[in-house]
Amino acid sequence: MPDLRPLALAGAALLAGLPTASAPLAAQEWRDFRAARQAAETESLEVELIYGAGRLQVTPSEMPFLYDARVRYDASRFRPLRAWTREGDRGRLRVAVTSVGETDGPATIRLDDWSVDVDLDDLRRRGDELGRIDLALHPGVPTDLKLLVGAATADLDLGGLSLRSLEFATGASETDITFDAPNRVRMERLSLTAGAAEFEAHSLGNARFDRLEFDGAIGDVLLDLSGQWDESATAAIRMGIGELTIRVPRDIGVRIERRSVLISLDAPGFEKTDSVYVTSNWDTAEVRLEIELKAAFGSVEVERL
Amino acid sequence: MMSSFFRRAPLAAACTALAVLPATRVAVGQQAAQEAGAQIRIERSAVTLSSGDGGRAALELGLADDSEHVIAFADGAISLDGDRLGGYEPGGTLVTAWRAFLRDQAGAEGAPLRRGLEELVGTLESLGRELGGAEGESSRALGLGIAGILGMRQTAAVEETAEVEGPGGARLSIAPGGVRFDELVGQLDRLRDAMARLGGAADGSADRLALIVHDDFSVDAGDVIGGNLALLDGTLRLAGQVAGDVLVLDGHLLLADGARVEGDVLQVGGDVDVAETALVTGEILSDFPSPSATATTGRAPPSAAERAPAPPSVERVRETWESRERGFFGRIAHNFGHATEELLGALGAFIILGVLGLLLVYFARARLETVADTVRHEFARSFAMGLAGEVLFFPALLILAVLVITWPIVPFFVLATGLAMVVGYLAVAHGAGEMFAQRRYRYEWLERLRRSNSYYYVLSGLVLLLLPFAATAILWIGGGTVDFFRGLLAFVACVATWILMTAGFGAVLLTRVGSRSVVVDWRGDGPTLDPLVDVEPSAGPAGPAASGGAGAGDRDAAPSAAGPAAADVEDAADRDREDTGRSPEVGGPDEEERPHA
Repeated sequence: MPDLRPLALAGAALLAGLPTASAPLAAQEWRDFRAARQAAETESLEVELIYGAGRLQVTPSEMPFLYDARVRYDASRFRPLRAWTREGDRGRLRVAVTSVGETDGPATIRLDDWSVDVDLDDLRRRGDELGRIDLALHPGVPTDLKLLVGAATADLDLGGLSLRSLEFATGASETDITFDAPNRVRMERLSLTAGAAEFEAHSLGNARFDRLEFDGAIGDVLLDLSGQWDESATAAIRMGIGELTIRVPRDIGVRIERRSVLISLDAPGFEKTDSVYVTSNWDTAEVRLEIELKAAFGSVEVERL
Repeated sequence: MMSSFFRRAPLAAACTALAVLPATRVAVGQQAAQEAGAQIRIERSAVTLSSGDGGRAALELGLADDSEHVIAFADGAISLDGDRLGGYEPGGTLVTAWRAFLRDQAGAEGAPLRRGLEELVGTLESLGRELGGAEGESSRALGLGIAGILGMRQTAAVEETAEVEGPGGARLSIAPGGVRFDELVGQLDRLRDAMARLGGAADGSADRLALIVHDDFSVDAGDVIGGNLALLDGTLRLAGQVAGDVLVLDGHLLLADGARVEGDVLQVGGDVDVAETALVTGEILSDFPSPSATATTGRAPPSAAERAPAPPSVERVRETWESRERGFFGRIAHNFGHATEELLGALGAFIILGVLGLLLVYFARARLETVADTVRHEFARSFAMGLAGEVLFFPALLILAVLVITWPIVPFFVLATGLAMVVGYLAVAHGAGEMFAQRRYRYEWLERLRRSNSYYYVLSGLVLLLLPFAATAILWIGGGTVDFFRGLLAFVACVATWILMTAGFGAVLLTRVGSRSVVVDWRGDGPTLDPLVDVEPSAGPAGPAASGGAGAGDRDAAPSAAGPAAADVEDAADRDREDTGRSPEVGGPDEEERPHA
């Protein structure tokens, strides 16, 4: 079952007439909120973040902070939320920005068992004037990271962190995910979901994932899987309408199984039998990547680096 | 808890304190009270940095009280306004630290420089302890000298605190001494209001207030504060331990190396610096107005001085945005909005029609192909038929409405007509897609788009038919300059769509929803066969429905698309045989179905 949240978000954002910026702005009251905690005695961390609209940045923290969340928000329309709980040596952080005051069309964004209200009206205004969240995480503490963003611009710089899992879902956004250094632990699951988005992921090989799941609805998508590969992995890539480019490093064996007929798949350097595309080094390669590819319409291009 | 404290604080605390304090005023500090908060502003500064071991490294300060001061390291001697404070090792720790400080502060003015100097005083003090000996002495002397210039209370003088009875009877300390509790109630009020923003996080913070700091102060290593600490103003250098929370209303909190806070650090103003080995067991939480209204990357929390001009800057930025909305960017955004809306409309139409088309191909491919072929090869006739159908729609509806007994049929009639239009449009799309597929293109990417099955015909045909609408949408981006072309294109697109839909509708009527073929080969040079439809022109029994429309099921039973092709063959044969110029429907259609073009 594909994750439909981003689509719903994208729909909501588009219904709200996202880029029209026609409504006059009420007086703005910008504030800076910060919540930071040192890493003492926390062995693992779970982070959940919900952001309706704005600019999101995630980076490794300067030492000694377990997390350092900075939120710039317009207090006349939004309020930052953060909740911290700890069970034993496992901590859980939740960060969100919620709409306040009179809202004429609140949409509720849900992530697991908590939800945040976002006024659709507030989603109209894009970019920096909506504020931003800068989240920094401790590089050494194993972390499960869940990010759910609506019409936000997301810039995730995740190299060198210790991510055990990453779930990222976005509605209508511009996303750039980069792992410029290897993830310090194996990542069990890397799940990326994008609605109507411009989506770029760089050096995903450095994420050291066991399984990659990508769901894209509409848009231009780049999945660059280069990086440090030390173990085999599987990937399930589903794409709606749009252009998908997958880059794989030359030194790993890659096998692509095409699960739908209605796509044009261009994979130079692959040997094709029926709906299966395999690199020539598949039998000899120590590290292998198996990709299951489903797409509705559009073109898929696989490049070997 | 805290809020309950603060709620009663202004009243209860003020009352209690006022009643109790006069009696318990104790240990007022040596410094006169009027000196409290008498910070001297730095108005000018200049840095001189000469290279070489003995090179001069000096800081010149011009203060608000018109005094000028020069602190200089030169030729192994440290001087303040010309007086020698001590010596230093060339290339040693002290001069290195001083030069690093000057490099950092070069160009800094006013409050930031003052803060830097205040920190430097603390650093020099600890450096003095670390270094020991003559250089340690110099370091301390320099620290004292700078503190003197800045009007800072020297650590030695401010260590005294006044112990008073706080609200609820608990003992609490005020630092530096010399201030009555009731003088601070206003600030505690502000602290309460500001803390309310931090919500539940601040619960219980103020009940256990053990120390209120209202001006420069330091808690040294080894000192323990037994409860919460509130910093109202001034610079607090904390190297010791706080058992509770630290609340910062304003001023500058420096958590030095080795400092330990068991609770949270809650900040609603001022700034907080945390040294590498300082430990905050709880959370560092802050919330205050942004220094500037645009959401920039600014990582460092703003100082009180930097925050001061915030309100006007908020106003200014707001005005900028409003004027933009009315101006150039607003129009661009507006146009993009229109373009996006219309493009999404076209996309929506494509998706809905596409799904219908795919279903139609799946369930009634033969019929759809028959209709499509009819439109392609008998366009004029189909159009005329469609036009007649459309013209007759309302009279027919009227008749059905007038003959009361036929009322139940009306919805079906309307629905059937609508469906016929849609099916007709999809058949046109199929035909267009097929034509597109049969063309050869010079460009490779176009060749790659060519596919030869009905699914692709329908989808690519829809793309072709909806393309003018998408183009119209995109023209919105051009704004007013291309208004005329956009209108023209929209008009052409609508007319073309109406013509095609009418033709499709006509073809549906002509073929009785694709159940029989009426295609005539006007060129007369043999049967028209679709090279790309999977044709085996078997002369099998799948001929045209013989008796007017009764053969609805026959065609579906025919294998795949062989039907229309076979029908073409026979139609052509019929035409050859009869060669009368009359339309060659075998089924002998009703008169009204034959409005020849």
